[in-house]
Amino acid sequence: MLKRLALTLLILPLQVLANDDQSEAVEWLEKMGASISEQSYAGTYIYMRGKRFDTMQVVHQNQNGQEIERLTNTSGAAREIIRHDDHAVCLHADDDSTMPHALPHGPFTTSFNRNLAENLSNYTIGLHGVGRIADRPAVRISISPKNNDRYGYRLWLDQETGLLLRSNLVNSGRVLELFQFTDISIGEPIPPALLTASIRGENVFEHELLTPQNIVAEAAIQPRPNWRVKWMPRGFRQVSATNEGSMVFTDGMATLSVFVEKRGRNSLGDVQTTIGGTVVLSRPIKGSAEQITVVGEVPLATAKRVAESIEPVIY
Amino acid sequence: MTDHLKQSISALLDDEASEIEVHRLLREFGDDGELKTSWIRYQQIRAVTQGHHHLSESQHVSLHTRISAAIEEEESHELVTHQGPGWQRQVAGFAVAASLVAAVLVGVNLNQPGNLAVPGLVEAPSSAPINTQLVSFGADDDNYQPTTDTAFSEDELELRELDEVKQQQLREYLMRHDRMSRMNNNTRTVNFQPKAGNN
Repeated sequence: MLKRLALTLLILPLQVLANDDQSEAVEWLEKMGASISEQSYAGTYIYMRGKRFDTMQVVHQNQNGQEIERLTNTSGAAREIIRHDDHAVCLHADDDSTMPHALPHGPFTTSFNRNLAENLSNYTIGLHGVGRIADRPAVRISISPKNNDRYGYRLWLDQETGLLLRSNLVNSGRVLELFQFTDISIGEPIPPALLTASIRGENVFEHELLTPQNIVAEAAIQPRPNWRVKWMPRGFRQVSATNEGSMVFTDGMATLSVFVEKRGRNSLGDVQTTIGGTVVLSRPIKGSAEQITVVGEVPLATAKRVAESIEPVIY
Repeated sequence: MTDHLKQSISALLDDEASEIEVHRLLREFGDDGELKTSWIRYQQIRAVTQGHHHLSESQHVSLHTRISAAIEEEESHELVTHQGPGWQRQVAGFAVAASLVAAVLVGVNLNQPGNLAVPGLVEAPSSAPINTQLVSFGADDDNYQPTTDTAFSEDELELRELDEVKQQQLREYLMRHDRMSRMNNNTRTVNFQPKAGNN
């Protein structure tokens, strides 16, 4: 009896206070989602994951609702993305097809906010005062997973505009990935030259953005899969299964890819490693000739549990 | 609600309530909606007048953990004093009530921004009764501190032990995964495909 009364006394009022706090944090997240496309800004950011360290320059202009953006890497072979609203091209001055045609942006996307908003039930949001990033006051927000089977985030949002200035991908107190502006101007007029491609010449190659539609076409759904995964973290749903034995799951924030393939001489064997926040776990499936590989932005323990839950489907 | 109860609430907030007052409040909270409302209002007024922020959800969870621990102690007390005379059970009850009050007062003190960085409060150990991961901010977290964040230096050791063929295969898995992530709009990179006639 005493237990019930005590909980009534102590917890109910605090939940009311916590909900107020959470509401304000959610408002900040909504502001973050809008500002990335609605604001005009120019700055330099770094993105670290694992041992990889990238420095990028971004110039973004919103003029009468039309977006123009230029994204440039500042080290290594020059790459440049010019985007007009939904149409983006990548420019580079080499023809080495072995080089990855990818530029990192971390969580600095409109989809990060949208995916977060759709999955708030899996997280607890908190406000932690105001810090300072890139010489600007920044509101600090924590996004704590309600279960240890996924990562958390620390976000720093520009106090004036809500723009994301910094983020940490966090697992058990450790920073796995870091995104941060080192300098940025927001709301200043942007000279047209900053939005014009700087890579020019006869040997310039141009690539179109790989759209979700392209990939959906690749990922034909296999109606009668040979394998299935029995366990997934709460909120994850299957979005594709292919004839080649790959399955893809997502909760919107993270993606988990599962590959089941015949073991061969070059199979990875028993390997587990992480690259930034991305875990790769590969191991032979006991009692079969197949190998399972799990890749995704989840803690290693979660990937292990997924791998252990694989089982053949008997029709 | 009587003036006497209001005074008891005020005394509880000021940490001046007697054990008898605490016990009476715990009893009354079970069936007095007005008393609950007053308690919420008093806490809000106290937080505002003392310049405190509202409790965050993570602090609330931390507080819940403490309260759960206090309740565990209560059950231990009950086991020990089960066969004892009535006055012993009553004293045990008062002791538990006092520990719960201590828990809530610690929780209220968490409102102070300077306490946000206390590691014991924000980083629940893996054995904590609530299986959640609390993300919080330390006093100097605006600056990155690689000496305390070891993930960058330790997690890729196994990669070096793989031969070139297997490293290539691992990269292939990562690229396939990234393409699939792109399908769900949550990739961390922008990927491109060649145009016809280009590489």
